[in-house]
Amino acid sequence: MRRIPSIHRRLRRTLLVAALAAGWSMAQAAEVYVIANAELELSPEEVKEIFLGEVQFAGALKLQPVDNAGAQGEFLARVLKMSGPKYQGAWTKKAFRDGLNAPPLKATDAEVLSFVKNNPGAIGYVSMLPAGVRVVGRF
Amino acid sequence: MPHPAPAALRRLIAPVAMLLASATATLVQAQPASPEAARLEQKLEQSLRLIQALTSRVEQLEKQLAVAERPAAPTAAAAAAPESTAARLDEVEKTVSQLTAASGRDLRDSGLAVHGFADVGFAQVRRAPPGTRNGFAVGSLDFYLTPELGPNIKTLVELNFGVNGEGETEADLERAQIGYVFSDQLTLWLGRFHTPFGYWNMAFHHGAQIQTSILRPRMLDFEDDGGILPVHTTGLWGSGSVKTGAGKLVYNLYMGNGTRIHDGALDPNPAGDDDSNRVVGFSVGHRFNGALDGLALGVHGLRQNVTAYDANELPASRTRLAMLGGYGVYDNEGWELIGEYYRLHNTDLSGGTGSHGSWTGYAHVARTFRERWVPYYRFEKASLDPADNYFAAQTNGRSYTRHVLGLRLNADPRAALKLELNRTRDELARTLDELRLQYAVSF
Repeated sequence: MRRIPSIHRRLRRTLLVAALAAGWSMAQAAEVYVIANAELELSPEEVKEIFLGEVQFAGALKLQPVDNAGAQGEFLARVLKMSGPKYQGAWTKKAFRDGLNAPPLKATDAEVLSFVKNNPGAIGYVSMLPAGVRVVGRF
Repeated sequence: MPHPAPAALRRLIAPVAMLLASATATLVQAQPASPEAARLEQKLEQSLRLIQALTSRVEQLEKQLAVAERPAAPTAAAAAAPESTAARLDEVEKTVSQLTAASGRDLRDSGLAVHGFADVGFAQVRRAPPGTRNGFAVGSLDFYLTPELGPNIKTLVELNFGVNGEGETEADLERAQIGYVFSDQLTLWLGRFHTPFGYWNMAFHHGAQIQTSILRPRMLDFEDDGGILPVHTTGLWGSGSVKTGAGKLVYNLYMGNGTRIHDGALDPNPAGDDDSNRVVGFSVGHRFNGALDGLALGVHGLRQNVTAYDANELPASRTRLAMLGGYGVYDNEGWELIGEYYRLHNTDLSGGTGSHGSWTGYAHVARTFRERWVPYYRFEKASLDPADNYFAAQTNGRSYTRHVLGLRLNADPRAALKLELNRTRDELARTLDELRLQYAVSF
């Protein structure tokens, strides 16, 4: 009779370990990779200025930042260190004051990857480590 | 390469198997002695047998697919096809990209970006001058377009609709400027733009939703609302920024049609200059980053000759306007602190009144709580020489002080509700109290 509670305890422990493992796996998946076209050389420090419209050119090349709906929350929190409403507000002001447009919003990693690969000044971010582009930083 | 479906099954099965195996091991170690434990053990054994069966089936399917995908004999068409999966994926990706480019471009890519502001509100004025209206009122509807016609061409067109004192709708072409961007260091604009002096005039203008308060500082009112400074210019404008170790140096240089005074108000002459005297001006500022992120400091200057016309359209006076100013702004961590100062040294060119010194400025403080509630306060003062023809010819060219106290609620990132009280006292010791409510949105 004493062994039943013991079994239950072990089962609970096992499930807890499994849940922790799943949580760790999800945390790993939430990483953000900032990527740029292979022709573009950028440093991680320049990313914030580019996505806020403060820098528009890399040499003679016009930069084309692109947002990713699937990873925007993580990107804003980890890289730009601001909330979604604040980012939106910053672009409302930027557009009105300087006549600039906010980065176009793509739906998925695949769309961002395709855009970045095919546009020389493109810079974006994805949630999985991609191939064929320059990885500016992992956040 | 394994077929995606079996591979997905395998990925699904693997963690489940590990979990069950772990649980089984635990149970085995426990050496069940009760009927309940025996039943659990039996169920786990059944599950493991099922997993083994599924794994075998997946392996079988993978082998079959591998055989089916192997080409029987190379043909000309097959030789031309992509040899690796990566190449095939690249091709599909490119095709999708081309299809997207051909059919599904979003508005921001197509160069037809349309934005705007709108506001409505209520005003109650105590001790109001005759003719002042109280009650609910339409504010303004402001559309602006920012089409990017190429990597180096920027366009900014702003159209503002408002309602005048008689209830008639008025439309103003607020801005119509076309620019060429050489680099981050230089953009050249041609057209009508917000005169790049100070901070408030460039930062908010008709953007009621992004402006914390309801009213602008009175000395910066729009010309057609009785503003005493030329807040619009039609001409040529160069601007840019240069990185420094501590942030960014920003500059503006401009020249354009000089202003005139007509019917007691400034007229920026957007349709052409009334004389050959141009306005020339500059501003230089520094935006800090790092530990001082959010801080901006700057100076600016402007010079032009202004002719005031009488009711018969005849020149009544001519003044050389020389303005120098400075500003300091801190906008970070929920604080909005703004201070501006304008010093005017005007010279009478048509009479014998000589030179006149005047000044105006304001200090504004706002604090955001929980990204929603924003109480704010502003003090404004203008000390204007009444003997200066430039001010004497303007209806609102009088000294004043004003206190503004308000509360703003950010109902949404794009909508703000504001309640504002202000008290204005002019040089004739008249006091005006106002209660204002505004609901402003951006889109």
